[in-house]
Amino acid sequence: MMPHRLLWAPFALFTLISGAASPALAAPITAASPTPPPIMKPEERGLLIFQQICSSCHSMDHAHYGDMIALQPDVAALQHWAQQRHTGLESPIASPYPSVAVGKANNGGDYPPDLSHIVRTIRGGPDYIRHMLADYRPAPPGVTLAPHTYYNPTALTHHHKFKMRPPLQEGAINFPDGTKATIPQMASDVTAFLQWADDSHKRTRHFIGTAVLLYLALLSGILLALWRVLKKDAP
Amino acid sequence: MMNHTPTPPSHWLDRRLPFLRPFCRHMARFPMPPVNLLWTIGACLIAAFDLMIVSGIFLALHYQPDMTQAFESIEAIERRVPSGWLIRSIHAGGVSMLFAALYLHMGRGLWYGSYKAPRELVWLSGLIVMLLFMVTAFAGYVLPWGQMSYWGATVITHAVDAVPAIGHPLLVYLLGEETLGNIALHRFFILHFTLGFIIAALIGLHIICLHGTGSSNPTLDSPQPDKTTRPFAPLYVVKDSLAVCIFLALLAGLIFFLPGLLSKIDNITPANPLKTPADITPEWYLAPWFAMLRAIPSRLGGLIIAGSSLLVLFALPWLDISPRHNATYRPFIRIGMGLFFLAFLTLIVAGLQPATPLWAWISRGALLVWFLVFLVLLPFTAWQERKAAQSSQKDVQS
Repeated sequence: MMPHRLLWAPFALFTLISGAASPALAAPITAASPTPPPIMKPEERGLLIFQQICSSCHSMDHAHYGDMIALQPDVAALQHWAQQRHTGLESPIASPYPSVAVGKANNGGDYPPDLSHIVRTIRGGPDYIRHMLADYRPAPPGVTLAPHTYYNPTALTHHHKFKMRPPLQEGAINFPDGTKATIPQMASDVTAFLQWADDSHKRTRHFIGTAVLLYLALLSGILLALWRVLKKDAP
Repeated sequence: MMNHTPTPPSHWLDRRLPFLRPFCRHMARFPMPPVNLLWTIGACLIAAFDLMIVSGIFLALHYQPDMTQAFESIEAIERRVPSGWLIRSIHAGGVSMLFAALYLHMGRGLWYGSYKAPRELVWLSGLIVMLLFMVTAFAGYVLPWGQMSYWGATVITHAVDAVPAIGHPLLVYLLGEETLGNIALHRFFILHFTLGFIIAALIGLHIICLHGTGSSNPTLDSPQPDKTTRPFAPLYVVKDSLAVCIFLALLAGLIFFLPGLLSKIDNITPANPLKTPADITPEWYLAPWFAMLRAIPSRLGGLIIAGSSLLVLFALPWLDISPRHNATYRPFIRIGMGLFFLAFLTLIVAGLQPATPLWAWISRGALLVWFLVFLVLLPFTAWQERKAAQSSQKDVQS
């Protein structure tokens, strides 16, 4: 017969590990390290683009200014950004326009959509956004553009006669990490930022998921061994 | 002779809760027939349900059951509540795993005849738990107040409209006002929250019913029936724990690595009563009944058929009067149950497809199989099997 003490091993292990893991889960995991990294992540560069360019027309209603702390650890800089827009860190990143009508009037009749989940809700997803942002070009012969309309063969609306003015210009942003602000570079960085804004816990989620699966694999292994021993052992 | 020695004074709890030790002894010694791995799904369901209750209570701490704040409070849970995204993903992914396990658990009960005498109450209490799970899941899906929440709830609540004469007043009474709004949202929240605890009580009842009769034995109808039993502890405790581990690993894979698999894009857009989404699809676990509602041209007829498809399950213990349990050794039942499982899967797929005439006809075919198996094939085969069993008994006697 098995010594009964052994039977408790998997459960003791469970209690031990879940006890050790729970304080880690209770703390906000996404808080960044206090010193800024020497190399910026794409989504960190993307935040700069969003702050200086996108957010002058688009809202990100479901995120607060303070949520960007994960990408911009400098609270003073975030506060400065929020104060420029006469609001605080605990306010949603609202549209700069006082109403939908004003937003439409300023953008050739199309209201700039909210960017909170745009990578998931727009047709084509992040690939579309990355492509479209870098695909403005002069109208081909035979295509006439109304005022406040821009030619973009990737854009989905109005047969490529797009209402969003070309947002990215060569060298528009000075990245602190020295990355050259070319249009494709910025398009890809801002897309990375929008992906982060849609799903900001992806890295943490994968990390915890891997840990959980490893733990369960270990526990399953022990239980499987125990089960086989017991099956042989029993009458 | 004294056969109960007085409890030693050190056992403080035993003297105050005298039933505790006999209860634990009963649980540990509960005799288990030689069951296979499908009998571990019940333990997985308990694990899934516990996860849902715990994560649900934490979500309720942060959720606002108000039309103007509901969607925003979900976003706050996802973005700002510490570990809120984790708790919510456990709750939102857990429901799919719970229903997957629930349907497997029921499928096992159907295949091995676990619904038959003397386990009628186990089957009936389980069916009631399933119905309540469906209502709870539906109410829970309304709470985030996204586009799919709103429009899904609109479509399903308006099915009540089809009830003759009292339909519309009943709908208004249930919603609290003419349209799906704040009152209804608050009611859905209370319903969702309360039903969780009612289900917990009914699961307790389900387990008590099971412990009254014992688990069914899958080998009884086989050529070599094995009537030996083993105590629940330690072998079956370890076996169930192993199954729960594997179940939790599947859940972890789903919520940590494939979160997009089951979430609907329309539900990350706030509810807009003026804009209908391109196609309204239910969650997969309610899809079979959505497919039934769509397959029947009359709204009232659809309601009746969808209701009867569940009611027929309640009658199973009395439709199947055969002494045999295990479908493996009942050739016609084996085909019938196989067809039923196929029909059920077909209805899930049909409910998730756009409403085309082809899918409507496929759903009707699956519905026909559903009712033919349970109302014709099963009673008829059972009647013949009982007759054969009685005549063979007579042969033995004579």
